[in-house]
Amino acid sequence: MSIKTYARNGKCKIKVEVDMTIYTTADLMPKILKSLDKHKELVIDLSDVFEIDTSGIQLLEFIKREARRDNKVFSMVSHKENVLDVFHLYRLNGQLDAIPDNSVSEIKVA
Amino acid sequence: MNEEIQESIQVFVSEAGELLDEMESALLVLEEDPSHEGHINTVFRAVHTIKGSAGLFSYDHIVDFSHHVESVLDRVRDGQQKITSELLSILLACHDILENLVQAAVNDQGAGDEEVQERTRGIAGQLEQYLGESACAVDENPMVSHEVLQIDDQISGIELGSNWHISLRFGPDVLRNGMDPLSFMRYLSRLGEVVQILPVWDDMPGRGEMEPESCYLDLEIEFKSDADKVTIENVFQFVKDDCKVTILPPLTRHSLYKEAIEDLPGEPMRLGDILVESGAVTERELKEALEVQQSEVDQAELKMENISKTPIGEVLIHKGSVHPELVNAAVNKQAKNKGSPEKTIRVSADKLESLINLMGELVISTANIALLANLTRKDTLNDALIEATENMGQLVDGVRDASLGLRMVQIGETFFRFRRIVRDVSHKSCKDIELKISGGEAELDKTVIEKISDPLLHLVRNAIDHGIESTETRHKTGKPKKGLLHLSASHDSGGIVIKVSDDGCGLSHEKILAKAQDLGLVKDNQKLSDQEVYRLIFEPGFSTAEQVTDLSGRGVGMDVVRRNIEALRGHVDVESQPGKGTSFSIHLPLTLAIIDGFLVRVGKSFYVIPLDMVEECTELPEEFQNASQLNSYMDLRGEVLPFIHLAELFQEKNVRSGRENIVVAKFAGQKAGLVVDELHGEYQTVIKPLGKVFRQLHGISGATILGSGKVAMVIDVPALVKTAASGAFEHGRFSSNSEVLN
Repeated sequence: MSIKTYARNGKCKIKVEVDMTIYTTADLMPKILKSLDKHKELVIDLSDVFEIDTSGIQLLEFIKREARRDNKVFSMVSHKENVLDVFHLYRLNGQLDAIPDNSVSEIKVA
Repeated sequence: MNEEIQESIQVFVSEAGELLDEMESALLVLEEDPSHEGHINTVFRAVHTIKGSAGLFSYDHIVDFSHHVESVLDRVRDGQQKITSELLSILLACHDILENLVQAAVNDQGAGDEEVQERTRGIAGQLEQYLGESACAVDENPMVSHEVLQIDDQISGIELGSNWHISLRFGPDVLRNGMDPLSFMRYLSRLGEVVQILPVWDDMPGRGEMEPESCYLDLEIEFKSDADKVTIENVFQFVKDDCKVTILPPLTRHSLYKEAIEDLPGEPMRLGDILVESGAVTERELKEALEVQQSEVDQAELKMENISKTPIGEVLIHKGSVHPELVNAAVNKQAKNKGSPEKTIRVSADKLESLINLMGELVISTANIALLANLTRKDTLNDALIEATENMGQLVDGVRDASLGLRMVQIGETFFRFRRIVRDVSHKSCKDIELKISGGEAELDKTVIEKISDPLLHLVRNAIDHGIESTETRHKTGKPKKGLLHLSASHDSGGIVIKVSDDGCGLSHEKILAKAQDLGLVKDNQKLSDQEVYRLIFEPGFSTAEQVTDLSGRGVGMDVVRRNIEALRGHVDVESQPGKGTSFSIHLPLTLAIIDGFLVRVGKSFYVIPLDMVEECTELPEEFQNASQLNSYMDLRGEVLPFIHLAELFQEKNVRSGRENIVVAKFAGQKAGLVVDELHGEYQTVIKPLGKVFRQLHGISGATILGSGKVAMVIDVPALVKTAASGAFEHGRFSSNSEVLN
């Protein structure tokens, strides 16, 4: 599994457990979208992502847009240094919400 | 004032005159078709250059005024101010004022007399209005200002002007091809400081079509660096096939590029090369722009359309490769190189004049030498001499043509000056008139052109004032609302024909006749053809205009027109169809100085007939030989040919040797025969004007000196052809009637 999903009360936290690069984004997209469809609020946990490239950034941007289009809350948490660097390069710091969302407890969804 | 300054002021005046002419014609083109935006640059350049040179001479009034004009033009160039017809009118008025100011400044009158000052203030006021008004115009358009604001927001806090602006439009396959925009940006940051990056995902599709491996990214980068354009471009070398890279240099660099453009060598260069050489545009950008340009042409060819190429500068600006300001600088540079001193020299008219005079003397003495060489033909020694003189004759011919060519000027320039007059006069008289110009490339001697300008002006004004009817009248009579005035020039046997035609009401036979009878020019019982009646308008004191306007109608004019034209050895003719229009044709010789003549002998004297008007020579038929009748008609291959015995006309004692010959001359479509005793063939003729006493001689337009030192008269073919054709000889003299008509 490349992602782990935790959900409660319509809130959902997705922990991406692989690097977000051109090699993985095609696989990640449908999985993340599936969770987005099911929940009103989506938090993406990037703590296990060590490498991200333009394709990954693009995917995050896409998810954000989809969420916004459906009036859902979207945020990202726990970036590693490497990822932050890239975010910084793309001047996306402001767009990414770096505050961990503690209100979502870790409930594993099958 | 010392001489040098005086001289440079002369240069300033003639330069300013040329620039003002350019400005005027550009404005008139814009008035016809406001889409020719390039012309606004011409106007701007003219004003700007005048301002600059006026500054050198401390003509502050000119500098101040042109500065105002320049500011308004600046707004037009920036697109803040639209080109409207009112604005064009004001700019035309500005042109006039600049003209006045230049004149006043040179005459040491400062800001000119009261009237000029008054007008200057008025126009300056109107200009200010434009500067204010257009500022509001932007506010009226919320869409535009909104957009502007947004952009401002996005780049706020950035030092605009000192940064490079780089736009990257990545193709969809960039990521798949193993390239990551990230790496380029990391590399870029080694060359300088990435001040701002704005990722734009506008192309990213919705869920159905989203492919995470495709790249939908566009980047707008503000970049601060001292690197040059090529170095920055090379950063993106690996993606150049997959990515559209646009690099706009910082504004602060413009002055550097401009300097570089200025410093380029003064040889003619192509615009693209100038821009590449200065570093403002890279080779790649130029190549792409050229491809765009070519593909436009190719497409147009496919559609069988005929388009002119978009100028490369415009393509580059459109692609965002270069700032318009730099293209302008390059265009200026290019124009400067073109107009560099190697190409043209200003020579004072006096020098040319004396050259032509010397040329005339040279032609005469060459003829003299040729004659002497031929006289001694029997000496076997002289074969070489004859060959040498023939050689020299050819060279002299060449030099003659070249030096006469120096004075030849295209008539188009004179015609174009009328556009302004037509515009102003038709506005004044509330008529809608289109001026059509054709044949402007025909060349005429400069002195002829200078002297023909006034008569032409008169004819043009007459056509507008009397010829073309008011818009309502035209509407009533079913004519197109817009009146047509046609100025044309064309070559015709040895001369040039200038036509001024209008599609107005034509001349009125009855009115002219009645007036002529009033003036006692025509007797009451005299029967005159339409043509003869129309020609009466060239009589002194003749005007049938019921109203005297400030444009024309005072009755001085047409006779002056005729006199001026005849002074140039020319002729004016009028044709008219009631209700359909009037057409004046002016026949002029190409040059006043030297012509190819045809030498003939009549009695003991020699005469020269301008060769261009000679159609053919033939023997006088038997039945007319030795007749002493002045004029008669003969049958020339089924054509009626009127002819004149020159011997009778000029009262030469006949020294008849053999049969008489007839020279068939043609002028303005009419033919006439001139009976002479002997044909001597082609002869280079330097025309010397006759003294005042002989001016009135009919049938003679000048004199020339033969190689032998004898004098030969130059025959005024137009006059003779006309009189012969109208059969207006009576008892060996011209009838009084024909004198009136000619």
